[in-house]
Amino acid sequence: MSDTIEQLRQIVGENNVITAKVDRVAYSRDLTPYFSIPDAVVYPTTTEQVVEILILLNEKGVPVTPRGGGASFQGSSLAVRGGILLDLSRMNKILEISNEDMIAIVQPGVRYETFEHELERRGLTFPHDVGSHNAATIGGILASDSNGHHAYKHGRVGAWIQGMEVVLVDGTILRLGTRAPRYNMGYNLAALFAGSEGTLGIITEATLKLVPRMPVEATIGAFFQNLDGLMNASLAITMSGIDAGTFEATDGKTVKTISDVMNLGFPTCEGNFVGDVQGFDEENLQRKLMVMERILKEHGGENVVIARDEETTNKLWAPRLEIDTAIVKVHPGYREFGFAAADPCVPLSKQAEAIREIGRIIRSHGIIAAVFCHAGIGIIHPAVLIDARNREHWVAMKKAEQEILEYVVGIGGVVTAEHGFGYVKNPYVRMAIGQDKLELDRRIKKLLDPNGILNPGKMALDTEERDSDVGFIYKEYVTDEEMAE
Amino acid sequence: MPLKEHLHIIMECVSCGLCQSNCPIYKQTNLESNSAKGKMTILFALLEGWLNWDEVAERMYECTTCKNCQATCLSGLDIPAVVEAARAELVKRGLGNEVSAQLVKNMQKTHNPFGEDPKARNRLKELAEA
Ligand SMILES: Cc1cc2nc3c(=O)[nH]c(=O)nc-3n(C[C@H](O)[C@H](O)[C@H](O)COP(=O)(O)OP(=O)(O)OC[C@H]3O[C@@H](n4cnc5c(N)ncnc54)[C@H](O)[C@@H]3O)c2cc1C
Ligand code: SF4
Ligand code: SF4
Repeated sequence: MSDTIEQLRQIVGENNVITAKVDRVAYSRDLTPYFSIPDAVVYPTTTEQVVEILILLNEKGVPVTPRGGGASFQGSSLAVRGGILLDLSRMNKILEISNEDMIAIVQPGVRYETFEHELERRGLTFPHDVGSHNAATIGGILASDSNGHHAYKHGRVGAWIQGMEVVLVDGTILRLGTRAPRYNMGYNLAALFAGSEGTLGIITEATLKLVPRMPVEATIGAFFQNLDGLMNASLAITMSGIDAGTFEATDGKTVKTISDVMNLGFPTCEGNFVGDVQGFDEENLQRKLMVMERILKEHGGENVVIARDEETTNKLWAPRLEIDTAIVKVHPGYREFGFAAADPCVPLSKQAEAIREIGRIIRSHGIIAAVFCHAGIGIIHPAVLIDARNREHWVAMKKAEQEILEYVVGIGGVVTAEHGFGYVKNPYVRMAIGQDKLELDRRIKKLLDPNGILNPGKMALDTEERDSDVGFIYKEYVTDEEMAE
Repeated sequence: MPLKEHLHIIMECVSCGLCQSNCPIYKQTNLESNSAKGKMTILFALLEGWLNWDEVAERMYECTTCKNCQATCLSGLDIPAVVEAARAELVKRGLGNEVSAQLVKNMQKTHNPFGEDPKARNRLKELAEA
């Protein structure tokens, strides 16, 4: 390995290779319970360097794990087989923003937040604001085919890739698409690389479609005694033709915890609704708000509040965003972990039922649950909050995870719709996609990465286990093998 | 307060990285061990015995204690308090900051923390007054 590291230094320069243990340890974990230290962290700054790095590592068979902001929920950017962590965060230039072509050309390490600030000054937006907006990079967002805060209105990010530069493991630089808005030329490979979680190639540049930033916006919140009423209201808003930005639902127990801890005085409810809506002028916005308010009330929405100022807006979003802050106040030392049931998706008609049932499953195992839903697109985010020093809590989390995923698949849903499989979902991939698709995915992987060096150990492409080749942050963690005993 | 008493904060850090982009040190280096997220990981590793005190010393001093991380933290964690507790222990272990040691030397020699020639400083003062 020391030879390889020396050659990497020659490619990217002394300062762009990190080998000190303290610095490598800082890259060893994410939201999952895993701990895995890379042998070196390498920061390329140009596409040519990425080409040279991949040719070298492919020849030597050394694992290489691409990483942007490292905000993955699922162990996707952990170097689970050691080797080289390829940190793209120093390839962070916005190369061009064009108001005429409505595109931006960016390097992969540009942070979402930085990018949006630049776009805002030009009246534009790339509306894929993931919750990790100030950590996540464009490369990570594209490679995860992320689902931003406004996915209800704008869909997944993959469809917004107009062009892409990808370096393949043999050093080929693949250029997909152009600055022209549409292309239909053979297989849509940009769609394949979007969501491939760094297992097929390294994204070194992206040409992204932009839209105008709407000048006015409002947030609207309401409380429901019945989650069915909440979901019916969100469907009725959709059917009204109003192009709302997002709808979010939070289960009533979580709302109560947050309200109590933060002294917000929220009413008791089975579910809280918060949404936002944009307008091209004030009159346009007011008309949409009027209709939304009426629909919410007609379906049983109480305490309907429209927020235009920052303080009220933050209060309305508190049920959705403040659970981590609230929990550490009530239960010091407790925290959330990325687990396999973090982002399933259910049919729209099953959203209310799924929030109830998933909350019940988690709580039935004696641990804390918070259940959120991107209403209108069916994605459920159950959060489990546990004391990581308590073995029983780990057992409970794993049991809950399995029960949730079996339940979701049973009602016609899917195992993951936002974060992807990463590492933590390896044991569930076969159940999620079936034998035929898994085999085809593995053949695609073999074609593009015959030596299996790119982000190995992920997406069940070479193993269906998850606890075998990594360490654990907490010694109390209960492995899948121990669970099976 | 000893570092161990801040263990709950170190454990509550979920490694989400929301603190990174506003950290003045991380912004310069893009080095995870400079961010609050990285600092919590290496302190956790230290308390578990996976790293030694001398290995973490330099990174603990690379912090302005500006609290930008706390302002953007998912759980509002008081990271600077943890960093200060780590520094206190480093000093006790004889691993105090080289920068502060230099400041003391400068004070003794030049009567100012910057190590500047007192005569030159007086000339500047005269110039400013003129
Ligand atoms: C607090 C929080 C909120 C979140 N909210 C959302 C949300 O609203 N919606 C959502 O979809 N996700 C969300 N996530 C998950 C995660 O932030 C997103 O998936 C995000 O896109 C990850 O970006 P990143 O740069 O941190 O990627 P990383 O974690 O660094 O990488 C993610 C994956 O992409 C690969 N990769 C990274 N860069 C490249 C590249 N240049 N070329 C090839 N492969 C690459 C990695 O190998 C890995 O498999 C959230 C996470 C957190 C911690
Ligand atoms: S307090 Fe330290 S770690 Fe936190 S943002 Fe400031 S410099 Fe960075
Ligand atoms: S924002 Fe807070 S919880 Fe997240 S990584 Fe930073 S310190 Fe840890």
